[in-house]
Amino acid sequence: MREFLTTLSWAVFLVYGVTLWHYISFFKNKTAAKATLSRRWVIISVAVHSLYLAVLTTRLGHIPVSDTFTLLTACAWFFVVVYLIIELRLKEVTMGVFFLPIILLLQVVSNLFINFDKTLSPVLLELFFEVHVAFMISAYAAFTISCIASIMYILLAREMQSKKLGIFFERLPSLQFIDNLSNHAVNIGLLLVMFGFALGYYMGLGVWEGTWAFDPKMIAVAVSLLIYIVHFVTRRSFGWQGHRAAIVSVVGFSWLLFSFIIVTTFFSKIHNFQ
Amino acid sequence: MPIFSCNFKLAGVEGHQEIKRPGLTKSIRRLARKTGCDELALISTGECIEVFAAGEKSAQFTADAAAFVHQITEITIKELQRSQQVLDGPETAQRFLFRAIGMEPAGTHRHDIQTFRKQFELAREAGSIGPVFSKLYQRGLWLAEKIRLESNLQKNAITPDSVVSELAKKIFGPLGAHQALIWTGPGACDKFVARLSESGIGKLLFTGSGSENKEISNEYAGQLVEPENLKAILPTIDLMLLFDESALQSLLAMKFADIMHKRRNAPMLLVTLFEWNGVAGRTDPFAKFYNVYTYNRDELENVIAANLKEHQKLTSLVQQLVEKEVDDFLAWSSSKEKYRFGNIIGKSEAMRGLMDLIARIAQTDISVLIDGESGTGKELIALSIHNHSRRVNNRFSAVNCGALPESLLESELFGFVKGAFTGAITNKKGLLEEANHGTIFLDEIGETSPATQVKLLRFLQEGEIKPVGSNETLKLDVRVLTATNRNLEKMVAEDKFRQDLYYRLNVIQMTIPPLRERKDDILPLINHFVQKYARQMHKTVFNADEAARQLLHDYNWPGNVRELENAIERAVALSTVSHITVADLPPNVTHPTDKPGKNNLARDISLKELEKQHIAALLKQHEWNYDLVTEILGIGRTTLWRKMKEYGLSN
Repeated sequence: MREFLTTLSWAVFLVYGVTLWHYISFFKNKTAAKATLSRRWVIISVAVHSLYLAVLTTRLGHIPVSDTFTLLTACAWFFVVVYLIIELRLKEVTMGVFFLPIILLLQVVSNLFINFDKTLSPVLLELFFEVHVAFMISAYAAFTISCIASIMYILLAREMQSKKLGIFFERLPSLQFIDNLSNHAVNIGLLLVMFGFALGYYMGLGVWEGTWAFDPKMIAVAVSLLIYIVHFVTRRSFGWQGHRAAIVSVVGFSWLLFSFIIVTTFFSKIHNFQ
Repeated sequence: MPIFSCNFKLAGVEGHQEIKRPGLTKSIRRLARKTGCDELALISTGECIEVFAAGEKSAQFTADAAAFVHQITEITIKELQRSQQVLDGPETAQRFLFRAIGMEPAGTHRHDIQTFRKQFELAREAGSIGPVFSKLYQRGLWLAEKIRLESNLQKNAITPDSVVSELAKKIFGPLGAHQALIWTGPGACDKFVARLSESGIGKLLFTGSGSENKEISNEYAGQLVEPENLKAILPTIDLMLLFDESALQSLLAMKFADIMHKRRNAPMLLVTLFEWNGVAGRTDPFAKFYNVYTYNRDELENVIAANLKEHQKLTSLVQQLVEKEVDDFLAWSSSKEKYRFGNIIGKSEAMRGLMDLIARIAQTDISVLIDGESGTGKELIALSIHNHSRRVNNRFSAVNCGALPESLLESELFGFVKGAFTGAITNKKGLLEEANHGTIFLDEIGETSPATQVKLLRFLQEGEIKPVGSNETLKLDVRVLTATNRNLEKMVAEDKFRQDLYYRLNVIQMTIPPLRERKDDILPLINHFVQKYARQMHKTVFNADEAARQLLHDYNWPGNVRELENAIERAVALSTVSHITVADLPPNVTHPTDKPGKNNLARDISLKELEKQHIAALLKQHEWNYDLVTEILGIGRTTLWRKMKEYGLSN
């Protein structure tokens, strides 16, 4: 079972790799045939990943949100599903090439450190906890989308300012479209993260009492919340549209990744699922 | 058959795109008849109307075409005569293909492919399209798809106006909700205006020193802005085109920072289209503003130069593709192939329709019921469907359901497993399984037993079969074509054939008319069979002589093509000279027992139907002379009236 799960986890990594390769080849030579092929590969990877998660769930006896590294792969799965929905709805395939490296990163970190038989603290079996995690993952998915869109915006805007129109001008959708996408994603993410945060806080009150307010992860999330609030406010009040908003969004997401991986690994006492 | 076309360049003619639609198909038909062309298509795109034709070119052709174009466009004939230009074979094919892929031969202007397709379909509706242009059109569609899939046509912004429009689209997306302001000046702005309104810009505003402002603004439903209102309106402008240096100065004087602040830094595209003469230095005075994209004339030129390189590569590629296609087409049209679709020979209206239908449905997996008299070539049609489908590299098996006893048919079709019945000593694959990924053709489907019909229905619906004696089902992917020479509809009514199976099989019905109803095909068939058997028998027979041809043409052919083939085979075998003579033909052809016109007797029709046809034929023959007809029929005048009313016959 262990070996099988390990193999499967790397198989997931591999299919994402192949999918990314297809998206890159689509980006280099934008043809309808390649777009269909890329889309087929995303669907295949989601299927393989779902299988992996299903096996993992039966192994652990609960849904895999109980420690940092199982959570990472669950996140990756959820992100890809959200991405797939967006791709199908907006019929915009160019985003994949920016999106899949992040998924690959999440999956490889998860694969390297995952422990297939970790026991679980009874605190974490509560319904509240699962709802809390669901909110947080959805919020992260939204922020990821916004970050990708922002990177696209920065690349395209820079190319247009430089007045040498190249591959990004040819391949990417319009600035207004990317900007709207990023903006909507941040707004939705903000709403979700606020709910998740409040729920976690309420849950924490019941379990840990007092001391936990200085938990590094909580501080980290609070900081990223602040960054996204800055995004929200400056955009509305100071007209930080487009380029500047994109930079704020990228900063916010970098901080999120940092807090998610580094802080939980090295600092956290409470938020480490023990 | 040669093809040719004439085109009328309509540059500067008002309202050239307006074609009066009602009655167009009728007028196409009339033109085809008048010019004596076999095929005719009218395509009007952009600044050009083209008349494509195939057949014998008459001296009158251009004049007739001009008159026709005049009729549908109301452009004076004089104007048309001046601009006309006649092209022959290769150029015509090339132009047609370029239209089909949405490009001009020079590659500069892109046409709407959709318009082309619509107009071609219109000609098809009018019935003026035959195998030649059908073929060319299909190749064109294929080419367009190939180009779309394999190349990138986006880099076609090679004029300043198209670059500006591409830039605007890249910044704003759809332009419907955006406003453009044009500061007119010495430079001509009409191209930019036309391009922007074509791109669907929300609103066009004009200001500045140009004297022709008003005119342009009227033409494009724009709005003229007075200088004193400019300040109020500027924050709502997303796209600005400056044709004049003084415009730049007045814009800078208006505190650009305030404008951007008012529009909350929403992105703006600012294009300057004049020589910079060191006003505000040669540096970009807008560089310090956030979210403003500025392009000056030189920068636009740089973009165009880069695009032009890409564009030339692409155009030469397309050119090559089209040239190859033209060569193939010309080789095809000058060969004997043009009246042949696979192995089907025939140029009659009915056969052309059939070939067209085959071309359209071959690629799908739709079930086809082929019906026609014995000897009309039902299997040939089925084979041709198979050969034009994507299953062509897989198996085509034909089964005659009438030839096998009921139980044998079932085991033949579905196969059996070892021990299913006495004598079943091994597993045997059925014909359906053998034909997996291919096509199966079931001839005389009306002869199958009810039990086999049920099994067939299940196979058609679920794609599954169960070999005789087996418990396992097999999933198969087989296209089913069926044929019958019996009236299935009647059999369904008499409960001899399952209704649900009938509907399943009869998704498309192809009726092959008997040879006597398509006399046009007899001549090409004679040629074909003479050549075939002459080759086979090592004889030097080339053709049939006039009298023999006339006899063959007039004969009733109850045995259809098969009978014709046998007659020719016999004649070739007997002939002693280089052509078939009357003496070589079989006696039933030379002395037909039943005269033409009485062939209704051979068909399954009711007495009433016979009566109706007889009365109709007589009326027609005697030009509705009632006295004469009543006398011939031996009935009273009132009886004739009543019967005419009953059968809906009227002059």
